[in-house]
Amino acid sequence: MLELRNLCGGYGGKDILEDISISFESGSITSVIGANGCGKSTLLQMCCGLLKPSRGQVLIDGKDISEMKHIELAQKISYMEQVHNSGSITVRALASHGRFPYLGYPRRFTAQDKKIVDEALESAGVSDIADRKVSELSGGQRQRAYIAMTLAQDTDIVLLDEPSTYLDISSQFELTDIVYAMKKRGKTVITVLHDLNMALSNSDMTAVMKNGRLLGVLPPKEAAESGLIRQALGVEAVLDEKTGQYLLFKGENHEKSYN
Amino acid sequence: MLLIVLLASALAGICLGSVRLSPYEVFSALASGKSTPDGRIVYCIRLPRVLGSMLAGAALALSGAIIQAVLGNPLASPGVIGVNAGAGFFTVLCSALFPAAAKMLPAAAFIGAFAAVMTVYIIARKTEASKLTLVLAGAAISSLFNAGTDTVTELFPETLSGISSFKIGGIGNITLEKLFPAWIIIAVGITAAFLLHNETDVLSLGDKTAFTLGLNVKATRFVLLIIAAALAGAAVSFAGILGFVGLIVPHICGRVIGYESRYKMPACVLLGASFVTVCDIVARTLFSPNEISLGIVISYIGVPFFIYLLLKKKGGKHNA
Repeated sequence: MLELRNLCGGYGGKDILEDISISFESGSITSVIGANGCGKSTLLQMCCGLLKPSRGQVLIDGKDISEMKHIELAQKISYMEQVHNSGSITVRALASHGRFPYLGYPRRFTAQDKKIVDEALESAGVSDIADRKVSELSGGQRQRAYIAMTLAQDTDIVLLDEPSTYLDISSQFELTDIVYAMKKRGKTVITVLHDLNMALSNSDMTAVMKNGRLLGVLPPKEAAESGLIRQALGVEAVLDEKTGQYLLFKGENHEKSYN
Repeated sequence: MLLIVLLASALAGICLGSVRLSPYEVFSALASGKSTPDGRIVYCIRLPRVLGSMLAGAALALSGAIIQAVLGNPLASPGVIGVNAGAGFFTVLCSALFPAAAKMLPAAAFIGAFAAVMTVYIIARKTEASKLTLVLAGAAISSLFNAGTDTVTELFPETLSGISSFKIGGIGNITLEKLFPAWIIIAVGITAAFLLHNETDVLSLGDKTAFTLGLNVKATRFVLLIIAAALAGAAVSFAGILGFVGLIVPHICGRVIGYESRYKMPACVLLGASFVTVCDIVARTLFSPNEISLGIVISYIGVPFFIYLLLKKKGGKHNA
């Protein structure tokens, strides 16, 4: 379980996040939503120790991460960044880096590590392209290769920063399946998503942010009905019961069409 | 494969020159020691040159591979980030101020390489160590050290008559004694780099990903840059400023072998050593019995390749 207590902080001495308190339950998917620049990515980076809070605490299973060893933190929480910096290494080599936190010196892979990497490649659907170079792949395949690395890291908490940005629609659905599989294995998944519909239809909880503050943490349906989404993004979201998808309207258009 | 290339080029390097020896003559000369004329050629001239080329090539190529990986920039190399220039400046300064102390030259070169890499690193760290900043800082440092080298050369023209060959790079007057402190440093540097191959690869995934995989990003980058500086500094101390080896060899290895350090690093060591050995053979046989500097030959081969890379990179951008 990941818990933030009265968290404040940002870049270069300037606070972006103001007094954020939230807990993320194990085996749940939470989407952080809000307008650009509201502090979503800052929040994720603070959760995994990339940024240090100016005030407040980040706790994993009740333990403050500032008191944890770096390598121990890497065994508990993984973070998939938005921009990928892959050289021309193979998909398998990339996925193997996910085991880095578990390798002692002299950095030798055990049979167990290799098995976990194979499973990760399988789950991410990249077994068949495991020996191809990441730089030669399509956007969707590349994203799955990175997901394989995250799966191989096998942490209880998984942070995904804009995982669907470069994906076409069918790859987005595949991504959703992988995220659900993580949830099933009891992982705490926290994503930042650009696509509001995808965030609302595939999350257990939504953490709605505006200007560095947390407006509320609610299940998607309630977040939509309570007007929290409108407050943060200026759009109305209405659940279409038949498809489980959300219809999005700009505030006033919605009023017109229903009057 | 590369090992065979290296052994073949080493053998060719010992055989070829103004006096040509057959492989059989080389082996009998090696067996007979310095007592025969062939033996003296092999032990006093050819062997030091071949060992010197191999060490310089291996060190510069591996240094380049590390710098490219750490900075995530395929156009970086010990030449580009000012390590060679720093080593060169301190070597020239040392030979101008203490002409009697030739033994101190390697130490001076290491200090220069470290000074360059530390300056680049500190500037980059103050600006949160972005890759672009590191390369820009390196280019600035490089110009500054080269200006320093030129200043010293102009102020002490008599004591530095041999300096032009140093700036071009060459191993014409090499002896086994001159290689002494350098080869130990190169051997240690290569071993240390091999031990850190996994860290190097994780670092090249980008700072954020590397951090969340549990890597101490700043310390790892610092240690790798120190290794790269030590390797390049050691090479510069006896071979002068050899450009382009640190740039093109890692590129060729990356393309042919791939970018995983556990394969790429040994490949760079072997290919770098072979490449410089072959260039040195060309340098002393092309206009035999006259010799041209090793650095000139490397530039003739290296510069066209560098331009080819620049053009190719631009093409790649359009395709992406």
